[in-house]
Amino acid sequence: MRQRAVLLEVARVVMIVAIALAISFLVILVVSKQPSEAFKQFVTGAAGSRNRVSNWLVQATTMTFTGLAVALVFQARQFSLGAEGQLYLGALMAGVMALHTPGNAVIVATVAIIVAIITGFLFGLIPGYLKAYFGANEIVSTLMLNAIATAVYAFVLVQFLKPPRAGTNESKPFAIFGDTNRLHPLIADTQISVTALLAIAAAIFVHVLLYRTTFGYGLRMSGFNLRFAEYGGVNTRRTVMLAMAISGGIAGIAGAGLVLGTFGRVNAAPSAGYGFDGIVVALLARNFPLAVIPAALFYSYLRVGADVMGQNTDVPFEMANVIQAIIILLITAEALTRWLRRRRSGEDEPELPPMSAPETITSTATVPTEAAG
Amino acid sequence: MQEALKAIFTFTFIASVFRITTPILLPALGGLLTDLGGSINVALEGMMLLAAFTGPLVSNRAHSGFVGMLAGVLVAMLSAALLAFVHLNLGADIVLAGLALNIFASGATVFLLFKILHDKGSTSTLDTKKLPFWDIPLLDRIPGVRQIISGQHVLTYTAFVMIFVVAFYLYRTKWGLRLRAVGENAEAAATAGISVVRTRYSALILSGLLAGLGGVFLSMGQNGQFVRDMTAGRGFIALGAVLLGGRTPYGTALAALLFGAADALANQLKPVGALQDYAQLVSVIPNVITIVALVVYAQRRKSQQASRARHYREQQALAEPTAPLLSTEGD
Repeated sequence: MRQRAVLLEVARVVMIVAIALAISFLVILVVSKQPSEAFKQFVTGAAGSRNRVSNWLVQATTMTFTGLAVALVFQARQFSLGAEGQLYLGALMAGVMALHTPGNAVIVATVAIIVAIITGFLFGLIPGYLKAYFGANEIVSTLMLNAIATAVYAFVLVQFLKPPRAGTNESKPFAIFGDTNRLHPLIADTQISVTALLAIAAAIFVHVLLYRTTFGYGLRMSGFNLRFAEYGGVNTRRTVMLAMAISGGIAGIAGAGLVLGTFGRVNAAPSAGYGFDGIVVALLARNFPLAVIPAALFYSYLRVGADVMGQNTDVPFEMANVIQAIIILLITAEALTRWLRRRRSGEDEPELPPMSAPETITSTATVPTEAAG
Repeated sequence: MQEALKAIFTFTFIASVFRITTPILLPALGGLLTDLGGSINVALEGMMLLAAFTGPLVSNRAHSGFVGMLAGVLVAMLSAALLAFVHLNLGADIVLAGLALNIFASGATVFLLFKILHDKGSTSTLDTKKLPFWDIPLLDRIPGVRQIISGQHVLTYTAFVMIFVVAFYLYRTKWGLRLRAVGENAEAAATAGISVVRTRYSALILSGLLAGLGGVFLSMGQNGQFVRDMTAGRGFIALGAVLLGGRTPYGTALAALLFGAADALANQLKPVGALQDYAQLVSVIPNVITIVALVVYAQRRKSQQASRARHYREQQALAEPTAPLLSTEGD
């Protein structure tokens, strides 16, 4: 039964991806003067050269982190959208450490990553604490915190990290890491570094945390039914708060990975929406930590393919955003599941609970207006 | 510092507050409607962007700013209807679907901009029409009032009129009553014969209209051109304004003004030498206020619920001796 439910989920995701790709092909067909070339670039672009494969895997690494961060809070049915901001601050603090910590490259990198985790954890703790103990809506608070994080990032970069007379807004390169200024690559001539291994470790960590610990059980229970969990003896407030904080820590590593492994310095904008890509990845993975890795690999493949298409043909890479939106819409459309369920499994109900639609949000919105009335 | 203070206490500064508030106030009022209806609209940002993009382009083809505005608002309303369909008919989560709409708007506007104008930045190469600024007769003769109130953009006036329109709609019409009933308790409202789906559809589409006006203001007001991602988080700030304003039209308007003032302040600081560096930080003041407001609002709501529960218990206790079962039905 359970196996069948998993298969059904996989079938659903595959179908949705197929629809999204079909729509994007239609769009390409309409707007492009060279549609076949654009298709080809889009679908095969990411595997086209060593450089692109490197780019693909690096993006997959980042998206694994942000995808895990999102999956973790979604499992608790918290709509924390703060991964982007946590990533920025993680990147900033990792960069500061890489510039100013003494010691050899290994020590510096370790310190930088740990500090990035702590930074992300603390920055995730803020909306977590406010939600758990004050009931502050986490959607709005995390979106606000994202803007604050990017402002702080820009401020610190321009005020403290940028060399005085530099023309561009970026710090000095990380000299500690030698000529490339980056973490030592796992594969020569690529930017694939130890963070790729960390991403796999993080997925295993989140899996164990969720499915093999009491805390994880309480977390999933809180996501399933907050009251029920509370009656069952789960400290739901602490659980919700920690879920958001741990998620922040994971997003922090993504930031550290970007500055240490990819840019080799603190640059003007380390992330182009990786936090939001994480949402797509988590949805594709149906919030299962181990499924986040293939989801990230697949989604980053599309992203890089879209980039290649944008550079070489007349179809701009913003196409990827359109695909991203379609995937989110289709995956969250519960009616689609019902339709598929009827077709595939007759009357049977799959055992997996729907993961994508927390009801706590609307409970924020369905609050009486007039106290006096 | 003095320079900054001098810059703040001028009529032009106050006038600029009203101007800068406009694209926050309009979507905030839209956000208020959806929030009270119980379906939070996080896609205000995307709806604004779509309208901001459509307006100037259509105005160029139609040679009319007004037609451009209508087209922009219409596109925003259509996107709102799509969001409503996906949420209410297909059962998609409104927050994720809203987010998807934002991502779509950000990507699709740049995509189309490039396909139409071969420019990924803005519509600056295109001759687009603006909407007018209005001088108010009589008022434009009173000093002070002239600088502040008269000569504002037509959509600024619209925005402030909308405060009262929305308040009237919410508290003086049957549709407003239904909307609030659905938001307060959808099941009870449905039992009373109100169509929850239809009510939420109308709330979302109306929020699209208001957000669309806000978006059109950005690209056809002072600027006169569409710039990629020009909404810059205003749709989210607007949601904050709804909560800070205690989910009432006047409160929301005051909150929007506060955010407008903070933005205007940041703008004033940018050219002031010593404070220039801090402009970046000043510009996030609204975000910080919003977070504080979230906490305050949630706390107030909690105490309201507690007192209401107490009130209910007391009433029951009082009524018990005479009419044990039916006593609470009348309230």
